[in-house]
Amino acid sequence: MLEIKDVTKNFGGVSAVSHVSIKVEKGEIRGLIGPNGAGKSTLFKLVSKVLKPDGGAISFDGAVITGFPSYRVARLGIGYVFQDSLLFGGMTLFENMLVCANTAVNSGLLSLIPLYQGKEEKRLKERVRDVLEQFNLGTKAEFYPRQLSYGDQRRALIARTVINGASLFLLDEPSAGMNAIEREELSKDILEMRRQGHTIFIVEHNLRLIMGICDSISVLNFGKLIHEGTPKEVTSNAAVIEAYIGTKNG
Amino acid sequence: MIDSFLTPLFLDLLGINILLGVSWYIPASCGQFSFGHCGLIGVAAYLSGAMTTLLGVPFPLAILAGMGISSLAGMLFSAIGLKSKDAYAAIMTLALAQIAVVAFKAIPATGGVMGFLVTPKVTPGIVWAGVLISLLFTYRLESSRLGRTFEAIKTSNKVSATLGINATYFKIIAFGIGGAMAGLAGVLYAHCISWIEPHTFAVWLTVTSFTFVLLGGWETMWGGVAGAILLTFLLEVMRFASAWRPMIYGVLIIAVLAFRPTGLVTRGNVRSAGRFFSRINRFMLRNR
Repeated sequence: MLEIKDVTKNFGGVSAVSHVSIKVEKGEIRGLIGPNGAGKSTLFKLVSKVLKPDGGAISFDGAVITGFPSYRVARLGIGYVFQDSLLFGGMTLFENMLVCANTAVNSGLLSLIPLYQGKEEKRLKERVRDVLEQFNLGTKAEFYPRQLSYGDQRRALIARTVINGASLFLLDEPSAGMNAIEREELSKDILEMRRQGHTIFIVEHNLRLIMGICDSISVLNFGKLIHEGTPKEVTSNAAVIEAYIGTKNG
Repeated sequence: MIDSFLTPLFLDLLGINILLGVSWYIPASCGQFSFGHCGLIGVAAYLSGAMTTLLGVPFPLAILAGMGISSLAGMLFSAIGLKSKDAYAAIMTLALAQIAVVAFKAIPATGGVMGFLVTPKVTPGIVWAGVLISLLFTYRLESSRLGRTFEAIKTSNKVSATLGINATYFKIIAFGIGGAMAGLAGVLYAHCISWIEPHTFAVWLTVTSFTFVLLGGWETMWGGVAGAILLTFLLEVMRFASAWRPMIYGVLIIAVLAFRPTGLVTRGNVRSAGRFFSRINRFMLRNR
């Protein structure tokens, strides 16, 4: 589904991502872990085209998307939930969800004509209600983002990406700042998304969460891919242990 | 004093100022600052004035042409301005407007530097019909998908792009709509004052419409409306001190930025007012 091939990104003299190749299969939950500064978020930004890669190629569903702008990548079905992402503060949760599914046609000047695309608008609103229910946010639809708990805001960001029609989700530390109960709910949400046929690529520092839900895990360190495998293989790999804990000599 | 507020000219100018405020608000609602507004107003004023006065074209056609040319110019300003970022883009729109002013001076048919006499066509009824239509349109825009998309872009270009929103396209659309409304203000102004000259459309006009929104508020169209009404009345009351006008504007801008950066009318105020009126409505229905 997603193929990252020999991708490289440098910031000045610092190599943030160095010749990384990862293949994410349709329907899997793939974890991406590594110590701070390993290049995980940078790699997600390269896939979603928030940043441009210096080298390598990225394909999605067989099409090369390396030169695409961010909005086109999103329309193809890659949904990126930033680590520091935000809901639009001036809109209710429900309105935030309605911003999605935008194209030049359905939200251009013609959308100002009353009743234009009325049926589609009605369908979208029904879908928004369904997805909010799925994420246990149905009763908070008319809340403004500042009235939501941090955990609800993070889950709302994922819900928004679901409504946007993404098939591949890049979740960048979705459990950051969540308590244990919220993390548990998040795990269930992610597993439910996979059950619905979505593919998840997740960066996470909470190893308990990632080991519990991922089919396979890629490990980055200093911008390089050091290991790939099942959660069990990763936890017993010497290079991964060294990256996280260090060696006797530091 | 009340008499001076009820003159047709004052009512015309009040309506035109409201149009200016709302026209500045629309690109701002999509996160763009238009310092080239004076050029957009001027282009429409000159074109429509020349059409009705020199060519004898019917006024409604001149209105459409004025709005059309300003809308196109707005989209052009935006497309060129978007090549740069933030403040640079705003300065670029100002430079384009100054090019338009120089062009007005160079056209002999419209009097060059001296300007020319435009046949008066405007009545308060025409101006306020324009204001009403523009306000209804903007109200509809704010609650539409397009309005929500503008809001998303204003909040974050980066996040909106990851939701599939092509910010460049929508910013150009916003400038086009704001330009059309500024064009309407320009046409009405030319046919109300009936004398237009290049220096009328200098940067001062941009500052005026910008101050309406700054004072009234950025968050909803009612900010631009409130700012335009307040400042038009204030300047009328202080007509005896017209030489001090730039200083009054300067003091107002500093005071608003220091004490209420959101402007007088916020989105919260509008929602509270909406709830208040719906409560009154329910009360009236119960006691009918």
